[in-house]
Amino acid sequence: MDETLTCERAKPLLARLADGALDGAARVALEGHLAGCAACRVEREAQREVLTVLRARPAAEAPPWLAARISAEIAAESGLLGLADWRGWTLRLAPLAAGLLIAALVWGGLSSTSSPGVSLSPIVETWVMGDRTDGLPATAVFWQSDVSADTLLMTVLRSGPDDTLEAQPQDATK
Amino acid sequence: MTETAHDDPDRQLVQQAAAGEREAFDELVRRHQTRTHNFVRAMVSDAGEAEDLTQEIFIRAYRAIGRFRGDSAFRTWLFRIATNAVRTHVVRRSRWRALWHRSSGGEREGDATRGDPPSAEDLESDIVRRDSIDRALATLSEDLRAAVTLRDVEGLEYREIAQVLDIPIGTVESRIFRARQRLRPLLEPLVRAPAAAGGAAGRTNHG
Repeated sequence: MDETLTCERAKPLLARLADGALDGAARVALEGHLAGCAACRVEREAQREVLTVLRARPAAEAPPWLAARISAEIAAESGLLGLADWRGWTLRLAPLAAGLLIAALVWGGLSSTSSPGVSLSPIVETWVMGDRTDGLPATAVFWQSDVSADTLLMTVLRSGPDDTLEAQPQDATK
Repeated sequence: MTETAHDDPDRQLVQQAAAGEREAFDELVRRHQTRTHNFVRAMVSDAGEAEDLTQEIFIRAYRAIGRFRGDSAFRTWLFRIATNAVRTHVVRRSRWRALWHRSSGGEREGDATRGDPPSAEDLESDIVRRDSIDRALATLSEDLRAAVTLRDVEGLEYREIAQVLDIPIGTVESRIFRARQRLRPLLEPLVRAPAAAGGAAGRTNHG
């Protein structure tokens, strides 16, 4: 068995043997080779010496302020610098677009309440028309200052086509 | 044992971070900053560069975390990002240096040979020992340096290193073997003067 293991093939395995990451048949074969090969025994010792020094290398601790700097950089990237990002813009403008659309529908609905010819989609009907009696358009929720655009959009995006939207704006205003 | 996606201790935080929770990502930074910074420092051996690169690695990770599929542990994935960032940095830096030192060629870093060698007494200091090791590592090609650093400094398993570097495990073995072979004469004074108390600090890497 050990005659088939040349020094050339033994070398990469020596790396593993030296740091204790070699088991089974490969280990048996390598130890057989080592018993008859002084050069490979010297190599194994050299491997051991180097890994002992490297394992004892004093760790370079990250400076205490680094995590805060990374956090600030990420906050800046997803906030202010996000203005340069078209996806960010889309996210911010989507509620505005949705608001304008609904305002148009509400206005159309109010100015022609007697006309049965105007038909709204069921979602708009339950959500917007249901709130109409209190005198404010349902779109008001989009203009509340304490609702972030992302929260509103995520609320809309997360609900499936069959979910009722009635309860969602209330949750989002928290 | 290599961590799979299922026993990844970071799994929940990764999912939260991918869903946009910045606090979850901050916690991942706190968990992995020392390991990542230590690896980068061993790879580039300059304090300022190591800090900037560590920051860049986490920002790259933040941008990409939505695409992380959990095929490996987060740690493995982060090391992939780190080795790629280091590689890009080393190429850029060597091009820049080549502009100023046209005669110096190849991988060899000028820094590793500059300055007076430390005395045996100096080697008792953690900082001097680390600096000596990092200078020796800097003489290796980036491929050999990454393999041996991931194994002996960071304590990764061979299989995990193969994943990080995207190379067959046999290649990992031969790179580590050759790296240690080349480091042996350079580390001679450190082999003869084993770390006294420094070993305890070094061992914290192998968590």
